[in-house]
Amino acid sequence: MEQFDIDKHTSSEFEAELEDIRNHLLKMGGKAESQLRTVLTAMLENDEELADELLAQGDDIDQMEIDLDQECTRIIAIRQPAASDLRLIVAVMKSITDIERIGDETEKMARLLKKLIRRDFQSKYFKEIDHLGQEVLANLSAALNALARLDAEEAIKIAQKDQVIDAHFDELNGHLIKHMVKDPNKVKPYLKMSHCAQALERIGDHAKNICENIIYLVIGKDVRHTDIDEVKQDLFD
Amino acid sequence: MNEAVMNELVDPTMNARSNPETEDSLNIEYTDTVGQPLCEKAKIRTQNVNVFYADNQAIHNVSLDIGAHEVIALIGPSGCGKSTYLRTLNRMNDTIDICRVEGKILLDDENIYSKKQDPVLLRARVGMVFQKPNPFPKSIYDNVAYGPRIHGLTRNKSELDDLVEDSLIKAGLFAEVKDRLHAPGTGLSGGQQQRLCIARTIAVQPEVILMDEPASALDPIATAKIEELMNELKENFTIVIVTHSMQQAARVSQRTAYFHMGRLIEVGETDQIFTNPAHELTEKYITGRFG
Repeated sequence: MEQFDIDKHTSSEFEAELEDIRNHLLKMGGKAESQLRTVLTAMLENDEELADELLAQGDDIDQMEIDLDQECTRIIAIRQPAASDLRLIVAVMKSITDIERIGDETEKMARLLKKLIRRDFQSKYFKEIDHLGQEVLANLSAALNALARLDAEEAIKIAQKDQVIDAHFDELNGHLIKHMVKDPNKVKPYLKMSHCAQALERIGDHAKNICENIIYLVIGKDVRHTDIDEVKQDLFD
Repeated sequence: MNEAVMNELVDPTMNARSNPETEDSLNIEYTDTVGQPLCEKAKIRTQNVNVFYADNQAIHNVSLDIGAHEVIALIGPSGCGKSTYLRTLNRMNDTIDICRVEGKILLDDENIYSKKQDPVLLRARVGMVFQKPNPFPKSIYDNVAYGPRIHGLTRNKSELDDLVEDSLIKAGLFAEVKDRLHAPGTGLSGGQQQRLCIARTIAVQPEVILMDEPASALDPIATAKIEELMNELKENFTIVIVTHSMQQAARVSQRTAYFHMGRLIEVGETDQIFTNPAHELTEKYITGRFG
């Protein structure tokens, strides 16, 4: 058969546009990842200023979401993408919503933290929350790496780890509730800590959503609302 | 995100679209048709079809079923054989001396290339609409009445009038021309002329309509009308459409077949072909990487 140089689009401009949105998506992901790292540091170090810094950057991720959304809409209107190009656009549009919400959750944590820091509230459970936070951070970083590499197999492994995160969150939250029952005077601060843990659990869920988007983008299969162990078995075992 | 991953992002040779492994696989070999070329309720079955123009083989061993009352789109780059394949379905290639067709083409399980098959009668059952509207230099009425007259489909003038009106209604043209049925067909706009040709095709009550890029010479509004019409026509007819517009294939068809260099590469549900094609060549073509 005749050979074609078919690895690139006939339109190099379109090629560049797709590459561009992928890079911007990863930049946006990197930004959310760094916000999560910052809020965890602020928590461990009781650093209100750091929490303030994070809150001051809040609009950056929102703006990135708007810009990427507009760019995706423009590409759909002008290029009418199909197959893997279409799946890329869909995956980007879904993933930016998840990343934007990760940003919102870190801001929520920063606001809760500020209140706790001002009350000078001390608890051994900050360490536990940080532990959960590090797990979530590792999963989010891994999800963004899998997105950069378009690695669906890795994405499934990362999505599976969300089950561990959920279990740790349940355990931690159980402890916090026990403390609230034991010491009703401290319900408010413990509730705030519980909300922080909940925010981390939600970030874990968003990282899992990003993994599902990667699987859709690479394999073309929608695995949302499906048992992730079954997905792994179906696709890779 | 770690540094290695960031480096991959800025180094284009590392991304999935252009890694060395992919470049090695640029010379993609055809093995067999991917997907579902067969269907249960086939109107036309084509089996191991080869078409030659003198010594040059234009179609290689294509087996494909055309389902009853479906719109199937044939897509592929120029010279891939999709029009040649389409023309085998009503023996339009018979008019080309150097053309030779091998294999079986069955319409309702009867071989259309058998000696007892009259090609004229075949073409009444399998009608065709061409790229450029080609009305006869006659009135609108006579354009539509021409087929029924030569095939003797009506017994009297009143039946013929009804058939002409019915065909024009089905082709979505009647309302626009009912007051000037005896004006020349060539005086209509391009889009109207194409719908007139569709009415002319429908008038002989075919079972299958072949369309060879029926909207490529029309403006977007006329194109939209033809596409809407196809959706209505599939209730009564089986439609095979060759199109260069992938959006059109995606809009009008239920199944899509992708041809490449005379071979049928992939057939599948249109939704699947346009969101998640199975063959790499289909993927490359519909994402605009060649063609």
